[in-house]
Amino acid sequence: MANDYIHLDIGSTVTQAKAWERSAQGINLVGSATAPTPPALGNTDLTGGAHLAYSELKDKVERSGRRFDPQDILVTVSAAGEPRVVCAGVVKGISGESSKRAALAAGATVTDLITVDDGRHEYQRVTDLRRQDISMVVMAGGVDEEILGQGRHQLFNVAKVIAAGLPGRLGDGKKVPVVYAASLEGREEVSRIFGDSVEVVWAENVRARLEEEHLDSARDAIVGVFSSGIRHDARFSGLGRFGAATVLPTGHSIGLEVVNMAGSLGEDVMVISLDGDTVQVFSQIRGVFTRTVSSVARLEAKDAAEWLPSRRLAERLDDILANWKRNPGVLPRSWDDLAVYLAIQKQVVREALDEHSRSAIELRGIHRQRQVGETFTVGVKGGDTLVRMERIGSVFLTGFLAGILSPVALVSIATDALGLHGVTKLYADRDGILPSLGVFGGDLVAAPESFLTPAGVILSPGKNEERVKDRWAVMRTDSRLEELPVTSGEIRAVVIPAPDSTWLELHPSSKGDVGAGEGRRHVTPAKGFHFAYVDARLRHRKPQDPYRENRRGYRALGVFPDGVLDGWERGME
Amino acid sequence: MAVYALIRPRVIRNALVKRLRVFPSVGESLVSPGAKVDAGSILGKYASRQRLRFVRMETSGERITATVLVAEGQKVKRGEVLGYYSYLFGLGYTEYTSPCDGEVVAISQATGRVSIKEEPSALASHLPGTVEHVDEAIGVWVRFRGDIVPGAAGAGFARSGTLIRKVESPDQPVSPQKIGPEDADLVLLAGSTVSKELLEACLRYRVAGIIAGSAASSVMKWYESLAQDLDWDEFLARYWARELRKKDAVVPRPTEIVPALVLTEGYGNMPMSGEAFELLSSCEGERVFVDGASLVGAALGRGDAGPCAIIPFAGAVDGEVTDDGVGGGAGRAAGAAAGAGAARVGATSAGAAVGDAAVGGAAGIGAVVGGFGHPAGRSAALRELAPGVRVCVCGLTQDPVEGTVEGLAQEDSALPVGIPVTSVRVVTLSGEHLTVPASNIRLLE
Repeated sequence: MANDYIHLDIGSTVTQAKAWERSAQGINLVGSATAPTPPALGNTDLTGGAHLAYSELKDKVERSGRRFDPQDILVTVSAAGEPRVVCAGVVKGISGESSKRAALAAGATVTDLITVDDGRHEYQRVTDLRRQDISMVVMAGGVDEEILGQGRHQLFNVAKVIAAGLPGRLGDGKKVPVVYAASLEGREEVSRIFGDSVEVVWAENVRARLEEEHLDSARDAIVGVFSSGIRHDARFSGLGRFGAATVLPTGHSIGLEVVNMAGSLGEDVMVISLDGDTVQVFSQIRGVFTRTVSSVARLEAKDAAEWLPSRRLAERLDDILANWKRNPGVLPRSWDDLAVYLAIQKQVVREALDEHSRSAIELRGIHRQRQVGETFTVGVKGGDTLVRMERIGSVFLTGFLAGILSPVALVSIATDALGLHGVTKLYADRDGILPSLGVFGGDLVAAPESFLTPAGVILSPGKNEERVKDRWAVMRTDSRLEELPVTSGEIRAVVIPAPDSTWLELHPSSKGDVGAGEGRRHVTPAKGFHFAYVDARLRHRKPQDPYRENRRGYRALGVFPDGVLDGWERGME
Repeated sequence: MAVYALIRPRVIRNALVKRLRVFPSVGESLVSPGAKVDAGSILGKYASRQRLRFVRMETSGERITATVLVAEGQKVKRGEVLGYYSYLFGLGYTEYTSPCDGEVVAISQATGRVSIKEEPSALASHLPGTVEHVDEAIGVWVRFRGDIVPGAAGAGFARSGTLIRKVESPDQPVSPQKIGPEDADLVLLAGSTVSKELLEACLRYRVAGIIAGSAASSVMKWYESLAQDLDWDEFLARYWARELRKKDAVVPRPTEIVPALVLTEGYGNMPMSGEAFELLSSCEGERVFVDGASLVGAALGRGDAGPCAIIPFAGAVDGEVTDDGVGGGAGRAAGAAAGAGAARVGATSAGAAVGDAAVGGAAGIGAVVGGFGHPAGRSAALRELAPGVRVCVCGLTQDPVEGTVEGLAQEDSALPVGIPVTSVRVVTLSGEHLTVPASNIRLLE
């Protein structure tokens, strides 16, 4: 196995090992293995699963008659939410959000955001910071020039809070590093405030000018601090057994691939990583990359119950959900389990998308020149969301669950939770390849989507389902034109007989926008897809019997056997 | 192909544990590493997050019209009269009392505001042992040896008290009528499921802690919020008790108003496991440490402070001599001198000490001291699912069941729901044969 690579992904619930073979034709997945990750408690060694997965992978490769002698080992880490960072800025909605976006883009988990307008007293900020168990602090604030004399004290007040509250790392007493991505002019004074006791990593200002945001330098600095510091973390000391392996945050690795894919596809893309206990959402929209992380911990049973196919299952959902949150690695082993599991995942994804929509926004704090006539009509200073589903051409589902849930179950999650609009191609990363592709960089021969499983093309009028007229959705081949059935309140699966020579078209009304602009026809090739799903369910009205609606949706997609759905319908076990 | 699973024992016997005692907010330690502490020792003091409490008196113009009885810098007690205001020729009368023990730091004539700096609260150890490490931002780590019952969930803060058994078997619930004044400051072994009514009875009669199998999630949410928010004044208003209203009644520490609650199995309606019930029953009459881990959130998700009940070995406060599991026995023997526990000393083998101690960290009890002999590169929290191993099978809609591993399922798609994951065949105690995902299995030994 010369010229080959091993990728170890240490997740919060499972650790995966993958062997890749590189040749002139591109890269090829040779084999993979999975082991549980020990729970992140105290100083538990979190690399235990990596060693087991690596050993199993070695056995598998050698059993297939190959020599196991990897040229390089690459490691990505998201276990224990690492890297965990505290972000700091001057104004929450401006530099605070920018520092948070930089940290998230680097694959970090943001545990707190300290700003002068966060509603806390200074001593509370200091005490809160001291109690954090974090890898680093990311600091932003101020533009590069002309801050001296106009609000500079606010940036320095934030620096004073960090200097006073920077937690010591447990055990060795070392201070955590600070990534400074704030005003260039403020560096000298901040250096003086920090003194010798703080290790500062200098990065370019994320908001050198108020109108612009540049996250790359801060992001790279965060990744660099993480990669060099993780070997000193007792929980990851087992990585030493893999030699000088490159270690990156998993979120950063997937993020690199999201940007690559958006470039190669030439359209806005969204990637949703279903990791069991968390959902990560990545998007590249209008050239802006955003990543957010949402935890299942905040999920409420009454919200998840909305997606259940039977009232009986809703009765105990509160206890079921509370128990599952303690053990998010528990998987469904019966149809009842699967129905509950999908309901939980749908609600988590919906909430994750809402959070992503709030984070993927136009920059706040921009001064806009207004006309006199706009005085009473324009009230927004940035902050509008970039996430409009009709703009998203492709959605990729990755993470542990994308590999184990059936493609129709994934379609069910996407259609219910994402509120798709227009034409959306849905891919499933069944082998968990996206983190590996990000690590390998852009030197692939094959297109990234060729590694993924096409789950289906979703055609949806979104909230305009009642305005849909005849010939709204059409499947066109070289020889014929077939109108697709759009029935208000229903979702239907349509077989695409010859995907390579088929195009799917949407014909909106003059005011309707299905992704190509108001009133403009949207055409997309169906290459690689064997199913299209026309989803005209009513989104803006709460159904009288949500359980029945959910059963109808599941029946149309074929997620559950008819006998199971009939049983739920009769209220039987 | 070997398959591994997480180890989650129902009880951990004779383990050497490093337990974090969390400061509710940044504190000031009164002990140093190496110091010997007992259950009543004060480890440190901490101020509440609020720190300053305010009382607003009647003003007119730019001065306080009420009669102020205190001065800046004066120490005050909770309930002490700070001032009074008499109006309408004495027909109306308002008295201003201090909301807490503390010191008057400022009196503003313009606003009528009296600022009182709260007296720091004490953090009791509740555990006998040796101080391992101190971090004033987080808390104090105490090292000791003892038997542990890991909690699946909990609420309330750490307490300790004498254990009393309230039921005859682990599947019996306790009736609220069985709780009375004689249960004050005791830890109750409460069998299967606790209800809201039972918890309210325990609150009213000032029980120290409750160990039970399960509780409904809605009850736990209510109790968790009560543990966080209930202060002494509100307690007195809600759970009126004549003897507690006396002027000389001792006001408890903020973390000792609500009894600690530990659930060994989880949420819902599940009996306590036989092993946990048996261990705890054998410790009736001994001092038990219970922690509902409501402060874990305050300690930002630290795993070494999860919910649990611990029976520390009296006398075995020095971990260095007990690493091999023999010293623990000696410690227990010292405890046994007081009566119970001698039988458990004999039952604790050195082998069991190795295995149990190695998983203490995985169970969220606290970091376990000592390098135990697991194979190089293999996590102590994982173990191979070999045939014959005793396991607990977790489910989503089904309650956990105990069984024995028969072997690996032949195909990845052996599960009825068609999920392609490594699956294991298990025969339950009732003889039922199950095929379950390996990730749903917790090793019990």
